[in-house]
Amino acid sequence: MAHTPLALLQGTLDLIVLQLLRAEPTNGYDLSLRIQATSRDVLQVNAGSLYPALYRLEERGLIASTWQETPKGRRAKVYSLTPAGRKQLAAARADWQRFAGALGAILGTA
Amino acid sequence: MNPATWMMRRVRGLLRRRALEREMQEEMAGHLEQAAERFRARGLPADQAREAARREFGNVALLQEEAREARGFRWLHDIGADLRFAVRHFRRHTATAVLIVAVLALGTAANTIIFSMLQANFFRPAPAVPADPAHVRLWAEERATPTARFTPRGFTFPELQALAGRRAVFHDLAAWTDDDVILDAGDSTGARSLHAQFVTPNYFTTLGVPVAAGRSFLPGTSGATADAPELAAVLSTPLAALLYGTPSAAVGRTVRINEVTVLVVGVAAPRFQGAIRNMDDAALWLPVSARAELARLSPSWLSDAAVLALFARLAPGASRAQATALTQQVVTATLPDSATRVGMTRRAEVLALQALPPGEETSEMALAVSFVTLIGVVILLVAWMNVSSLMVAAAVGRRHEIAVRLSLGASRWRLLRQLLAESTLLALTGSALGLLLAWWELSYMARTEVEGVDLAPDLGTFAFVAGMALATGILFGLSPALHATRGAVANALRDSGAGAGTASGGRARLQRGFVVAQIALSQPLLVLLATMLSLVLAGYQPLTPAMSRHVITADVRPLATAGAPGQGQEAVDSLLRRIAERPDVVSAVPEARGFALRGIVPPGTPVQGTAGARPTIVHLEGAAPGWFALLDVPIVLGRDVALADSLAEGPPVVIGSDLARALWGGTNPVGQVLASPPLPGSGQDSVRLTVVGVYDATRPTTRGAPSAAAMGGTPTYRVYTAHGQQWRRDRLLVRTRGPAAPVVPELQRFVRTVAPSLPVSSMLTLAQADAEQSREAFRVALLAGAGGVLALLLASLGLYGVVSLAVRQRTREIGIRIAVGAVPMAVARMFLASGVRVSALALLLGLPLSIAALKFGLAQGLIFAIPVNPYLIGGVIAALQLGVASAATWIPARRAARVAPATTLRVDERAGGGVGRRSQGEPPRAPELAEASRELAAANAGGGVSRAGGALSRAGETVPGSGEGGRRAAGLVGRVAGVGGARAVER
Repeated sequence: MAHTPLALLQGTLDLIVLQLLRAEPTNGYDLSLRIQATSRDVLQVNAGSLYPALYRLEERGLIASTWQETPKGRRAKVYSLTPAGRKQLAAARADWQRFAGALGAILGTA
Repeated sequence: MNPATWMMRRVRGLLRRRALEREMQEEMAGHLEQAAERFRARGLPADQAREAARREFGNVALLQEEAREARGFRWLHDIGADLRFAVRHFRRHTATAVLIVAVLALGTAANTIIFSMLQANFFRPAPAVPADPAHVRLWAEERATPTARFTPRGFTFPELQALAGRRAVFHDLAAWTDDDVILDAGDSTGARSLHAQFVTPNYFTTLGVPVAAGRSFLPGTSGATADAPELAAVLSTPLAALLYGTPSAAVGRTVRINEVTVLVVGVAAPRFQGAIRNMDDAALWLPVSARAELARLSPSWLSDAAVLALFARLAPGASRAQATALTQQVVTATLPDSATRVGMTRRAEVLALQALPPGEETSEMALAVSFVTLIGVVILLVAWMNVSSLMVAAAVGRRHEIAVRLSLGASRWRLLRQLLAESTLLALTGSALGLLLAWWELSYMARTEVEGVDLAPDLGTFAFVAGMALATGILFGLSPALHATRGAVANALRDSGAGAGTASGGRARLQRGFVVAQIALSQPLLVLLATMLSLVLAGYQPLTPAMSRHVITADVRPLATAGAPGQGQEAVDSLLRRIAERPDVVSAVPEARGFALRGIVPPGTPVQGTAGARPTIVHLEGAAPGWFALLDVPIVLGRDVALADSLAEGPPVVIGSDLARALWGGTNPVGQVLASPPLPGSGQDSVRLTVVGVYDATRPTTRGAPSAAAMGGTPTYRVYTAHGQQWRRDRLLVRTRGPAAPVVPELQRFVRTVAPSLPVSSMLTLAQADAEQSREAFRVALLAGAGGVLALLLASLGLYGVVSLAVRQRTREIGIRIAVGAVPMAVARMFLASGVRVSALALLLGLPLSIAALKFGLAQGLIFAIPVNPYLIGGVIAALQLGVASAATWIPARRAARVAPATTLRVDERAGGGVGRRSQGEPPRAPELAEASRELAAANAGGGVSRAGGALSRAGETVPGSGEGGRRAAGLVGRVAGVGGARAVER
C-alpha cells in the first residue's frame, strides 16, 4: 500500500515555519517550496495555507516582514524571525521533543 | 503578548487594513505567478501551468478569508456586512426607523439634560475651582432648646482663629461672608449694585484659584487674619471686562465702593464666581477686614456676628471625621454658659466643599434629586420599552424572511447578530441625535438661563449617557431578536401569523399593560403641566397699551445697610421728588407692594365664635398716594390713600369695587369697618380696617390681574393702604407726558447726576417690561409644553407599537376576513376601536391619579391655585390624549385595511405546498379545507377556539362585514380556495 501524505497535525505548520525561518529570512513562495522539499513530500500542505499561518505569526509578533526585491527583480515580502519568535521556537521544540519522546515510548512498547 | 501590545497591533491593523489587504493580494498573486512559471518550466502550457499553480495553492478565496481572520479582520467584515444590511433594511422601512430613532433621540436628550443638570448642580466643583478631595466645607447648626429644631449657623471670627490654629487638621482655613455693595467706577455708567464676598486674605490660595491679572489679597501675619490694613478689591473677570475692557487694565484702578475709595489689586480667574456653586455669583471680593468700614458696622462685628462661611484644605493625613470632631469641640466651647443652661446645643460637620449642608433641607434635596434621576431612568426605560415593542412588531413582520434564512442554514447566532446590529444602529443614531439635541439645549441654557452653575455640556456625561443608551439598546434589542428567531422554521414558513400569535400572546398582553400604564401616568403629568401653564398665562395680564407706553419702571438699589437704615429711603424719596419736577414727567411714585394676606369677616357677622363664617381672603398692599392716578385707576368713591394714613390706627384702606360689591352690594362702603381676625397660624394681630375709598377694580394695574373671577377661580381682592408705608423702596414708577420710551435714556442720565451713588439696575417702559414678561411666560410655557409633548409622544408610540404588533400578528386573519367580505375600512375601524379602548381604559385609570397630582401640586406649592375648572383641564387633556392616541392607532389600523387577501393566502400556499398550483389540476386536499372552515366557523360562532378565537368573535359584533361573511362562511370555503387559486393563476 502506497504511503498517503499525512494531514498536517494541528499547530505544526507554525512550528515548521518558525524552524525554516530560523535558518534565513525567506519569502512565502520559497518557504512553500522548502516545506515540500524538506518534508520530502510526506506532509501535504496546500501552498496557500502558508499565508494565514504567516499572518497569524506576524500578528503575534513572532515573525516580521519587509518588502524586498528578489534577485529576479520581483517584489516579494520577506519574513524573518523576531527575538520573540526565536524564544517561542525554542520552547515549542522542547515541547515537541518531549511529546515525540512520550509518543515514541508508547508506540515502541505497544 | 501583553494586552496593550495586542490592542496596539489591533488598532494599527485596523488603520492599515486596506494596505494589508492590498499586500496580501499582491503577495498571493506573486506566489501564483512564480508557481505557474515553475510549472511552465516543466513544459506545461501557460493556461495549464496557471491551473496547476492554483491547484497547488488551494482555494484562494477561502485562504484569503482565513488570512483576514488571522489578522483579526473577520469580525470587522461581518460587522460591516451586518450594518450595511441593517441600513438597507431601514431604507426600506423608513417610517419605523424614523419613529424609533425619534423616540430614542427624545429619551436620550431628556436624560442627558437631566444628568447634566444634576451633575452641574451637585457633583462638579464651582466654575474655575479645581477639584481637590482635600477641600472641605465646615457646617454648624444650633438649636435654642432641646426640643427646638436645628438651624444653620455661621462661624464667628474667634472660632475661625481657634480652628485655623490647628494646622495638623486644617492645612488652610479660609472664610467669606456675602453682602451687596454699591460700586461706582467713576465712569458714565453710574453706580451699580453688586454681589460681593468679604473674604479672608487666604481665600484664593486655599481654593487654588489663580488670578487673571494682578494679585489676590496679601496674607497677614497668620493665614486667617482680620487686620490686613489694605482696602483692596479683586474683581471678577466679567466685571473687569465690563468696566475696563481687559483684566490687566483693571489692576491699579481705584473704585468707590459704598462711597469708600478702594484699590483694585487683581482680577480673579475667568468664570470664577465664588468657592461654592451659588445662585448669586460674586462680582468682586473684598477683605473681610474692610467690611466694618464699607458697611458702616461697628468694628466689633467680626467677633460678635456668626456670619462667616468656612472652608478649608485638610492637612495631609487628616480625615474629615477628625475635622468634624475638632469643629464640634470649638463651636461647643464658644457657647456661653447662659445658653447651655437653657439647653442650647450646637453641632458641626465637615463635608466635601460642594456637598450640601446636613439637615432637613438636604434630605429634601436628596429626595428631589433621586426623584429627578428616577424620572430620567423612567424616560429612558419607557423609550426603550416602546422601541422594543416597535421592533417586536417589525420582527413579527419579518418572520418569513428570518425563517427562510434559518432554513437556508444561517445559524441562529448569525441572525441574532444581524438583528442586534439593527437595534445597535438605531440606538447609535438615536443616541447621537439625542446628544446633539441635548447639547444644543444645554448650551442654550448655559447661555441664557442658569447662572452660577457650570452647565457647559460635559464629555463625561455624554459618554455616560451614550454608553447607557447603547447598552440598553443592545439589551432591549435582544428581546425582539430572540423572539423573532425562536420557533420552528416550518411553523414560520407555513404561517406568518399563527406561530407569532401564540408565542407572543404573553408579550402582547405585557405590552398592552405597559401602554395602559404609560398613558395613565402621562395624564396626571399633563394635567399638572396644563394647570401650571394656565396659571402662567392667567398671571400674565397685559396692561392697557395707553398706560404701559407712558409709564417707566425703574429698579434702584438704595444703600440700605444695617448701619444706616434711613439713608436709602431718604435717597429714594428725594430722587422721586426730583424726577416729578421734570417737565416731561407727570408724576413719580414708588411701586406698590403686597405685604400681607388677611382674612376679613363679612360685616354683620360676629367676629368671634362663628364656625360658619369663613373669612374672605384679601391681599393687603402698601400703596403711596398718587399710585392709582399714575396707573389711570379711578377712585370711584371716597378718597385715595394719604400719607396721613401712615400712622392712623385701624388702617384706612381703599378697597376694590369687586370687593365692595361682594360685601355690600349696592350700598356705599365708605366709612365701613372690616374686622380682620388673625388667620390661623399666622401670628397676626386682630385689626379693623376702615374703608376710606373704592377703586375701579376692572382696570388693570401692575399688581396682577383685574379680576381672577373672570378665570373661573376664586377672585383675588386687593386692598390698598398707606399705613406703615409698606410700598416698595427699590422700584419707582414714572408717568411721562408723552411716550415714555424716548424719556428712558434721559431719565437714566438724570438719575446719575442727581443721585450718583444710587444704582439703577434696570429702567424700561412698562410696555417693554410687559414684553419681557410675556417672553418669559412663553418660555416657561414652551418648556412645560415640551415636557408634556414628550410624555404624550412616548405613550402614543407605545400604543402605535401595540396596535402594529396586533395587525402584524393577525395579517392572515384580516386577509380571510376581507376575502369573505369584510369591508377593509371596517377592519381598520376594529383595530382603531381596540386601540381607543386601551387608551380609554388608561385614561379612566389616570383620572384619580390626575386628581392626586393636582392635590400634590397644591400641597407642594408647584401650583398655587387652580385657575380653571380642573374638570375642564382634565377633559381637555383626556380629549387631547385620546386624539393623539387615535392618530397613533390609525396608522397601523389603516395598514390592516390594506392587507390584500391574496398576500395572506399566498403565505398559506407556500406552506401547504401550493393550494393555487394544485387547484389548477386537482381539488384542495381535505385537511386544508377543514382547517380553513374551522377558522371560519370560529369566526361565525364566536367561540374562543384557537388563534382566531376571541378577537374574531369580538369583531363579529363590531364589524358588519365579517358578521355577514361569517353567516355565509360554511358555503364559502370552496370560494376561498378558489380566490387563492385564481390569484395564483393570475400571477
